[in-house]
Amino acid sequence: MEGIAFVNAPPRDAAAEFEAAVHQHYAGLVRRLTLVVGDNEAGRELAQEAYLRAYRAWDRFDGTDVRAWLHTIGLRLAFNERKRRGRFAAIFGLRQETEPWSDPHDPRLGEALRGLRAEHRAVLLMNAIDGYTQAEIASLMGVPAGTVASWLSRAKAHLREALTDD
Amino acid sequence: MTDNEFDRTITERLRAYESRVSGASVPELEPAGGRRGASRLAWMGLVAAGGAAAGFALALALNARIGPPVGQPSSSPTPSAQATESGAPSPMPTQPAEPTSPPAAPAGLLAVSRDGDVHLITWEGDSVRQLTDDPDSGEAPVAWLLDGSALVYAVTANDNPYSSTLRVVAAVGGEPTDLGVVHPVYGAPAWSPDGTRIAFGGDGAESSGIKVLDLSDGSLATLTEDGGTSPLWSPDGSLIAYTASDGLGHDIHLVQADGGEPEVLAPHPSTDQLVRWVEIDGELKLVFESWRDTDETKFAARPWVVNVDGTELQLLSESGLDMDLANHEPLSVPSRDGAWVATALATGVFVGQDPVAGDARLLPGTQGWDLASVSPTFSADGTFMAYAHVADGEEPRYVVAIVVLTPDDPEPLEPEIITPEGSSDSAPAWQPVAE
Repeated sequence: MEGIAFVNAPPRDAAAEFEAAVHQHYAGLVRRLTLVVGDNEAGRELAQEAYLRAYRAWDRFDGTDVRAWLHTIGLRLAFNERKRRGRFAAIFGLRQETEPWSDPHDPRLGEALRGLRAEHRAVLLMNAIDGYTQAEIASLMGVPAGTVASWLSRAKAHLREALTDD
Repeated sequence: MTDNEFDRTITERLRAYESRVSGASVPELEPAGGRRGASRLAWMGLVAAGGAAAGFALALALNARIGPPVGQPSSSPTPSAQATESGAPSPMPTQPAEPTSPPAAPAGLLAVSRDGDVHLITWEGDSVRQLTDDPDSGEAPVAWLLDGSALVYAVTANDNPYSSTLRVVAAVGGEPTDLGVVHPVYGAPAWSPDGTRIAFGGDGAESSGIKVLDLSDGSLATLTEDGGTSPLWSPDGSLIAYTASDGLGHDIHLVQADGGEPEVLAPHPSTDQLVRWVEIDGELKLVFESWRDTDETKFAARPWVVNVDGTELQLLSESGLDMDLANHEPLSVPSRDGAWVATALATGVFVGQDPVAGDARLLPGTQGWDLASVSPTFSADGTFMAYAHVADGEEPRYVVAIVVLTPDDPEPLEPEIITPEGSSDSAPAWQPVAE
C-alpha cells in the first residue's frame, strides 16, 4: 500500500472496515487535492496524510458520509499545507512544482483554473462536480456561508471571463 | 449564455478535466483483504430526510438550555422588540395580528428580481411596474424605505459580481438615485432592532467590510474597511457583531453601530462564525460556532459562548451534530407585528409563531438553504409571506412562492408559486404599506 503507514493500528476488524469503506475514494481524493493545491506531488502526499489521520480517527468517525469526511480532512490539510509552503517558500525559496494544469484536450480551462486561488477552486469543484450546496460546503470547510458564496461567485466569474470565447 | 447554461457547461468540462488531469498517475490504494463494508449513512441523505427533525430538535435542545435568542419572539411576542421585517420595517409596530381566517388579499406589492430586473408584482405574480431595465447587470431588491415609498436595490454588473452598487428608486418609478457606494452585498442585510437601519457587508475586489445604511435619510456609514461578513445587531441596536478573517481563519469582531474601533472576541487560528445574541443570567453574550480545539478529523464545529468583552469563553456542547447551527445567518426574520418568525436551520427554513417552542413548519423547497437565499418576507398585515426557492423541472429556475399564514394549523404548508412560466424571480421584499 503505497505511502500509507498503518502505525498505531486499530484492531484487525476495524482496519478491514476502514479499508473497505475508504478504498474506493482514494483516487478521487488524490485528483481533487491535486487540482486544489496545483501540485501533483503535494496532492498525493496530502491524500496519504489525510488517510493516515482518518485511519487513526476511524473509531471516532460519526458514521455519516465517509467521502465527505475524507475530503474535508484532505482539504483542511491542503489549506494548512499551502500556508506552510507559503511561509517556507519565503525562507528557503520555492521548489519547482509539478503542476497538473496541462491538458491538451482543454488547455483554456487549465489556464483558467490556474488563475484561481486554491479556496476558490475547492468550492467550485465541490459545487459543480460534487453537487454540494453552499451551506453544505460551508459546513464541510468550516467557513461562513457568505464566504463560500463569495468564493464561488468569484470562481465562476473568473471562469466565465476566461472562457468567454469558447 | 445564461447562468444555467454556463453552469451546466462548466460542470461537464470540469468533470472531464478532473478525470483526465493527473488521473493516470494516481496510485491505487490496494486492499489488504478484509470485508467490504456497507456504505455508511450518506450525510446528504441525512440532511434531506431525517435531518429536518434532528436539526430542529437540536436547536430546541440548545434553546432549552440557554433560553431563546435575544430579539427573537418568545411564546408571547413583544411587538416593541420585533419591529422589523425583511423589506418591511416599521417605526411604530402595530398590535400582534390574530387572524381568524385567511384574508382575501395581502396589503402592499412585492418587489422581486425578475429575470435580472427589479419589478413590483402583485401577490398573484403579475408585474405592475418594472423599475429597472439594464441588460448588462442584475438588479435585486435590498430593502424598502420605512414608508414604502421607495426601494433600495443592488446593481451587480454581469462581468463583475464582486461588488454591487446601491441605488434608490421610487415605487412609482422614475430615475434612480445612486447612493454612491460600490460594495459587495452578499445575502440578506441585517435590520437594526428598530428597523431604521440595515447593515451589510462582504469581501469584494473594490471594497470590503461592514456598512450601515440609514433608511430614514439614505446616509451610509462605513464601520470597517478591511473585510467582514454576516453582521448581527445587538438587541438594543448599539453593537454589531460580524465575522472577519485575518488570513488564517475567521474571528468574531464587535464594533459600535455608530462607529469606533472594532474588537476581536476570543481570537483563535481556526474559524469562528456568528450564531446569535443571547442573554444568560441577565448578561448579554454571543453564541458562535468554532472549529477551535478540534482536529481535521472532526466533522463539525461546536457552539461556544462568550461575553461581549471577550471574557468567560465557554464550550456549550460537544455534540458533533452542532453543525446544524451553521446556517443561522442571520438567525431569523420576524414579521412586522412580531407574530411570525422565519428561522433557518441547516435543514431548511421554517416559519411559525414561535419556532423556538416547536410550532414551525418547513417552507417547501428550502431544504439545505440558508435564510439569505430564501429571503422570507411578510406582508405588512402579517397574513402572507413570500420566499424564494428553486423549482424543479426540465429547466430548474428560481421562483417566488407565497403561503397564507394561519395560526395553529398543523398541516404542512402548501405554497403557491407566483412566478410565471419562463421567468425567474428571486429576493422578494414585501412593501411595508399599501401603495
